[in-house]
Amino acid sequence: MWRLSLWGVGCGVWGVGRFTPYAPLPIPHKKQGLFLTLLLCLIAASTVRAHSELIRAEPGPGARVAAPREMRLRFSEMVTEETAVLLFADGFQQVAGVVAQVDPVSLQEVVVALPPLPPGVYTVQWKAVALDGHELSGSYMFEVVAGGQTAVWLGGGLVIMLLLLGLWRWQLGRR
Amino acid sequence: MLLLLAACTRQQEVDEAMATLSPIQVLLVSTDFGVGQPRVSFAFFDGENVAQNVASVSLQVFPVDGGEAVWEGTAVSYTDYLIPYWVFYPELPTAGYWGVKTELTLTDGTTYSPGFVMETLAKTNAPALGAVAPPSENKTVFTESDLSKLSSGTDVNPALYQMTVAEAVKTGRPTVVGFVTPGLCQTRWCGPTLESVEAVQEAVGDEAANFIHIEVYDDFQALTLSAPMVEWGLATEPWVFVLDKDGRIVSRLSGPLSPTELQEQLAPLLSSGVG
Repeated sequence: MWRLSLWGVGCGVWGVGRFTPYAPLPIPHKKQGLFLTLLLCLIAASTVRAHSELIRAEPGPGARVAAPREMRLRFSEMVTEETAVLLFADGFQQVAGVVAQVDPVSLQEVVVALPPLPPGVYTVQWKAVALDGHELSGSYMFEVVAGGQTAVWLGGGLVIMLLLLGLWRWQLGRR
Repeated sequence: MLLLLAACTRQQEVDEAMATLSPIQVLLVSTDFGVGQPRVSFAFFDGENVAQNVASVSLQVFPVDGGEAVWEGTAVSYTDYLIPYWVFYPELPTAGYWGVKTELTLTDGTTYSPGFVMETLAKTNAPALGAVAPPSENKTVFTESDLSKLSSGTDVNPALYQMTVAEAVKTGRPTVVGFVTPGLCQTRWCGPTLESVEAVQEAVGDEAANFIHIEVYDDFQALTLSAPMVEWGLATEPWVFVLDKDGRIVSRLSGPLSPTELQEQLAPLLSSGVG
């Protein structure tokens, strides 16, 4: 779990950092040269374009959803484990039990496990830390609506019922 | 039919609620806020694009643990930077986290109320307002003849490397010190800041004020921080400081900085003669 007291939403811009040493990966010896070359290219590229901007989120800004079990935030660059996501309910009450982790499959994506969220408007506060330590932070809002999906299901179910009723009457008419 | 009507009514209520919910994303673009009246800057994004159609922004600041607003006011827009951004100076009495409710009005009259959270520190990392600037012995053209080692940028302007901070504060003129790495951070969030410093230098002239660029990195390959960055306690970049004639910090400007905003900060020191 990330630490509110350490990252500070307000301190979330342009952190100057050093490359974080990564644990060695189990790569076949013959492929190590290629891997290192690619890694160096990657690091070089990230050096000149460092800030990870939020390019997609689920739920996204302005979304109205039934209580989500998780959030997914995708950034323009790969991010480190220092990347963090906070969630605030109405009145800026921090939501406990929010756990953000960088997706090990796609290092540009952060998966955020959520506790059950009651209906209301929520503010997502994120801080993305790029591989070279540059940081960017932002926020957006989404709304959890009770029965939002229920209403859609109800409407859909009603349409199906009406279709079945029509089919039944049509069958009766044929007899 | 009643069920269908109920479903439609519910959907309408939901849609109405959605209409008031902001699709706008707020990016906080300054950092290291101290207790008092910190400069807070932010930008609005609609999807991946900068929201260009924001006409006005008013704000209220609340303690995150609940309670009444401690400050309310408006933000000022600066559009002569690559990203149009907004600045406000809240009065924040204590260190801690603050919820900021914004009410933005678009040019078509639509209003949204996105919020964000910020933290104030009892002691900032970078030198505070009123503090005497560290008398850094930064690199100049007189100590480093290879311009490519003075800045990571490609088009190095020697006028920004004529004196150290230690020398500048003895000239009796106000000084602008910019910590920027133009070649190693070329994104819209930091690269153009040095151009703003150069633009103001051209507008004001070297006789009225000193202008100094200090490169963030000492080694552009290993990315080791330059000595002044450490000396000033800077953990982020870009930063621009405005010093009065005695070397005291009168403006601490982190993140994107437009020429207009920098000139506004410098102007009182030039016109009043007390700089």
